[in-house]
Amino acid sequence: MKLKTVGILILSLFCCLLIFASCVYGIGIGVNPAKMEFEIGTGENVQKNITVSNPESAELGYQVYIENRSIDWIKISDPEFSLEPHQKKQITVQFTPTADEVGEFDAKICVVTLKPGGGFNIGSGVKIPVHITIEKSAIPFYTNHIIIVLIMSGLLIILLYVRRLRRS
Amino acid sequence: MKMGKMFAAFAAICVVLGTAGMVSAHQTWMDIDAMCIDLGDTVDVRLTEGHSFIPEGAPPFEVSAELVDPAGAITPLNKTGEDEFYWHSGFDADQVGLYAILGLHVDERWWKVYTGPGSIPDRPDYLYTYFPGEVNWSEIDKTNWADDWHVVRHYKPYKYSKAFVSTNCNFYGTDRAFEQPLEIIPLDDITTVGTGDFEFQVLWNGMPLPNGTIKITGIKDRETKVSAICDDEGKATLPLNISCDWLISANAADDSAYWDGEYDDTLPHGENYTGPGGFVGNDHRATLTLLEIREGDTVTMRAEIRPGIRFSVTPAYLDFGELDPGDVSDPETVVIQNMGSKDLKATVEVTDTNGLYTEGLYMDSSLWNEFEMVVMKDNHASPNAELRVPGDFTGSGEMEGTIIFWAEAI
Repeated sequence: MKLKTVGILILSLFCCLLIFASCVYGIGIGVNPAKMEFEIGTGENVQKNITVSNPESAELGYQVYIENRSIDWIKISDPEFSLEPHQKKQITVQFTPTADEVGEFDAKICVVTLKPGGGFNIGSGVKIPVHITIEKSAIPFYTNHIIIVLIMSGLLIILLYVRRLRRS
Repeated sequence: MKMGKMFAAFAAICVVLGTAGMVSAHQTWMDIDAMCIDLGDTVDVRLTEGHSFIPEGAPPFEVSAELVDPAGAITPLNKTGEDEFYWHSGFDADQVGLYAILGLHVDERWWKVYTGPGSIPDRPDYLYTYFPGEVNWSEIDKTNWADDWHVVRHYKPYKYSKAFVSTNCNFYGTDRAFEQPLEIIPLDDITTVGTGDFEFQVLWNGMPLPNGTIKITGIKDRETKVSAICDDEGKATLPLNISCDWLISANAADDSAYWDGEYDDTLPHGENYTGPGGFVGNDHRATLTLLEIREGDTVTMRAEIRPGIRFSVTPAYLDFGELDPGDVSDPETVVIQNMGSKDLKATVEVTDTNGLYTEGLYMDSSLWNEFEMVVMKDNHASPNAELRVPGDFTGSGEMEGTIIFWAEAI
């Protein structure tokens, strides 16, 4: 009887150790690209992709945000998501600077994962430096109303002239 | 009775396969479906024995296999089943690169006996008879045996087999030794097999055997075989001119070329035998399975590019234990493993609601906000975290907080 009890205790302890061991894992993150650098004109819209991967063998939740949260012209397609073990996901970051943003601009896109729970938790995150050269867009000639009217008028005159030539 | 059945079965095989000289011993080889596989595929590993690259049965007695993965780690492959022809095992190919699959089959001891012409009635020109296991020489019917019959060899066969698979169809590294006792090493690019001369090297415990000891054979089928004798560097070239699957085998060149054992003049023999006796020892033979890189294997190109930043932090939870105001905790080691393609600069950010961690967490003896560490790619760092509870801290109970390890490419 005593032996049986000791056996059950040892078995229980072993099970607890197994359960505990299965819960212990790291907090990992994979992000590509490591940095971004590009040029953009005001009023233009540029989209860049970021691939986030989970290198761990447990499901983890991820958050993506701009470090300076007051910037409202950079939009993240999926600010929060979960990834299964070794799964990856592509998210899109959309940049639409306004006319006020002309010049050199630096920002950081943060991708972070954290295992929530009681006590003192550990997370891992990546900061992607983004350097953007924002230029004032020149208005293309074909968007100027006066030039459009002039071109249309010119075409009409040529058409009428060709018709007259055919009749004569 | 069981012995009798085995002998009858073996005799039948000998009759079928026998030639004027000697019947070849069973070969054991590794059978796989393809050498180029996709990442994540489950590879079915099969060991079989037979002749001329034709499976005849699952290898009996001791069979084992092990896997050398792209990182060089060696793991045993457990048997998952057995059927009429194969010993089965397998693995999930979840790493990019080359896997080497190594097999070992240790058979029971065999006797090779010179019994002379006419000793087997159906094969009058057949000179040798094989017996497995223990033999009671006085009870064997020797009616048709020559009066100079004698044991040529009494040996324990060790059969080493090898095959390769790659998840990126890159076979760089197949020309190295994987430490099989007797090993066939393909010196040329195995993706070119079937296009002409192909050089091999055969090593015994990592060293070549003397010139003429080893015979290497390329086998396509019963009719198509090419052989060569290894030189004193263990090297030999086979003309593998046909695009197909090839089984390469290596074994002692002849009955006088055995090296792991010695001659014994006390072995059983006929009354008129006057020779030096027979060889007693171990028979080592090796095979290498080289499959044709099929069109279907090569149309797909793939490569796994590591992300710019990939790292892992362990453990996922820090427990500094029970502390009083003014106490300093034992240091807890945190491992930051850089698995990406760039070097990293690591910093930490601590948040809490009570000031315990933001005021008291030290990393490598510096307050957390002063901590900065470079972790080179393919490397790791192990900073120590320590909690120094402020002497005037008034909170009690479990204190919650968060530490985030931030990484940035440098």
